[in-house]
Amino acid sequence: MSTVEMVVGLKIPDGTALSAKQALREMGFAELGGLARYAYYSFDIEGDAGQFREKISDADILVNANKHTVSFEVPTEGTSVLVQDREKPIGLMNTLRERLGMKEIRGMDAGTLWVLSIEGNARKESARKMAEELLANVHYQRYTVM
Amino acid sequence: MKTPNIAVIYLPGNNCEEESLRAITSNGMDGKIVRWNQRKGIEKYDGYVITGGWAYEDRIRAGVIASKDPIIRDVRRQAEQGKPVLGICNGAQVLVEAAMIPGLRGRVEMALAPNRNPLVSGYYCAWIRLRSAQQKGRCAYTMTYDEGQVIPMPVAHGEGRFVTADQDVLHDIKKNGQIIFQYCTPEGEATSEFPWNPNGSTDAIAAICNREGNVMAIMPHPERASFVANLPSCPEKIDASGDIAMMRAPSAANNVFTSMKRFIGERQ
Repeated sequence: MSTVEMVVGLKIPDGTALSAKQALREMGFAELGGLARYAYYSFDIEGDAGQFREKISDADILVNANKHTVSFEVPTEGTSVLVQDREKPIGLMNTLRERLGMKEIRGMDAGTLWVLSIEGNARKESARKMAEELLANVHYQRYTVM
Repeated sequence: MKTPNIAVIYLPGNNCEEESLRAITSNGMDGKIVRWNQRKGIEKYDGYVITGGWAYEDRIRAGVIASKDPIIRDVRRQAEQGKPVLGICNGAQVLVEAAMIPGLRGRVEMALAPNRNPLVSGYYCAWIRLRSAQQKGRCAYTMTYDEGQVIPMPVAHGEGRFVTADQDVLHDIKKNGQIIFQYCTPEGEATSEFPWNPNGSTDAIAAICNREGNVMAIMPHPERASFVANLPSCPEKIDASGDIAMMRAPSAANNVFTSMKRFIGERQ
């Protein structure tokens, strides 16, 4: 069993990221310089990871090549906040397995990855506050600062 | 009694402002649609309705960007003075994300999580039934409902499941009688079962008020069910068939607004 992580970004302007940045700055997070948003997926798979990467990037249920970018490496620049629902995306996994035939998927998770450019030395603490106050609702979501 | 004047708060992306205004004026109140950038004079109104729709496209999650809008801070100040504030659907999501509902500890205490529904994921709309869960007059919107009364209303949302990770919050809202409406069976039994409960909401919660009872977040749409003509096929509507006056008569859901008017009258 191996784990494949996939991040999907937008080639076109991301209105949600713009709104999030504007809201955070208006909330007083002046240290926030920039913000990018990605859809994040993590798959536990049986079999060849390379073949799976090829197959999943062609699954247009997750990726539309006209507007999305796909990467199998999580961005390392900036401070990241990964926001995930407490419940696993069972419906999406069933769709991939049953409708698209990706039986090699044994488990998966999904979420939103926020990559934040934060000035100053307290970047992780600042990112945690942004998550608590805007990016996540802990009553049905969990978040990880990376 | 001075005619109550209600501000229907319109945030970019809302789409229920006209129905809300119609429900207000049909009850003999004055009302005006107030856009998010028309904050000047907001304090002159006697009550506020935050309407349904998709404020700010529900970016990040439903209601959260709108909850940070300056006009919501203004409305909060008016609510703190005891004025009624009703959030319907997206408006309910805004009130929860603004920590005005349930309003116990001054922080976000609940969420309106994605529906848990065996039929579809995401957006779901249907007619459901609500049970009035508290004694008459517990909050500003139940002055004319009997406890246990069953009211038909439509739901139309993708994120309508009231949840909390803090069991003390759930304990407190029950103890305080803040659960105002619950999803129920045709017989009036509160239920977690689909299709009567359309989203898997905790304790079948469809509407919660604050402790004081002047602010309420309700996921179903009373403004879309205010008149007999709005109702799905039912004996009341069949009886009204062919009679325009009966079709325009208020339905049970309209009492949410009737109650709001009475509440304001009692405050004056």
